[in-house]
Amino acid sequence: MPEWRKFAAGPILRRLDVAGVEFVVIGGIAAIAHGSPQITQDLDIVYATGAANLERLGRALQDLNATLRGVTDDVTFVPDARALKRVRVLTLDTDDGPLDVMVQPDGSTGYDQLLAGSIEAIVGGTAVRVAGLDDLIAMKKAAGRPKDRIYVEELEAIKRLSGR
Amino acid sequence: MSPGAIVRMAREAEGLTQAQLARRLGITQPSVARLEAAGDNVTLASLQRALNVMNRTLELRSAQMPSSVDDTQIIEALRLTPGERIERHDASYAEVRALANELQPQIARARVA
Repeated sequence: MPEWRKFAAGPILRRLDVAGVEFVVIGGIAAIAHGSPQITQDLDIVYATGAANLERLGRALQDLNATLRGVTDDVTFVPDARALKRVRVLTLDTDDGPLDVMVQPDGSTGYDQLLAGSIEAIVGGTAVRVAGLDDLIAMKKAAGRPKDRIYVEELEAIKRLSGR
Repeated sequence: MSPGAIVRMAREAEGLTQAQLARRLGITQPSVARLEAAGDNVTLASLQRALNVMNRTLELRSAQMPSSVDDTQIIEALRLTPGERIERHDASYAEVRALANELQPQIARARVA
């Protein structure tokens, strides 16, 4: 039986915001922000790819003591701006739990598109942008795993029940 | 319900014997018996023709599968703001994690025993 790792989205979001990172929350936490009753074990974000933002994100990730998830050998990895420039997706462990950062998840064209359709969530006094319902549904449909299909059903129900 | 069963039920509702329906269709009684016994293995055209000679039409429609989503939990969540929902999730996660990690050794011991 897998161990339940420490995870709290709020503190990670706060650290990203304090560092001035431009990002949009997607995935399970975004679905929960819209009304999904599920429990998720990680935070997914899409970030802006401008040089200044990569610097800010790199500093925030180092501040969170981010390491590559599932990599147990002694390869030193520093998630700084230089590393972020070379990758499209990073799956990380941080002091406050798992964090996936990505440039362009399936079903979206990236940060600018997601920001345009996003909503605001105030989490513990921190304002963050969360992907809109339609963008979230498109990404979950594109991902297509069984758990994504459950999310799609829920998000469609949220649309229906909230009249959006 | 299978197409063969639809033919049988329609015939019985019309008070027809298999022989009478066979005459209307221009086929033999054993052929009607085979049609009704064929279950799902009946073409749409055969089904439609059998129903038409009994003065019936065939209606087909597609419908969404019933949802497995529990609306009541969503309605409750919608009373909160997006930020409050994330904060509530963090609190719930911490509780579930504590409980799961507390129960894990007991479950492992029970499995060994």
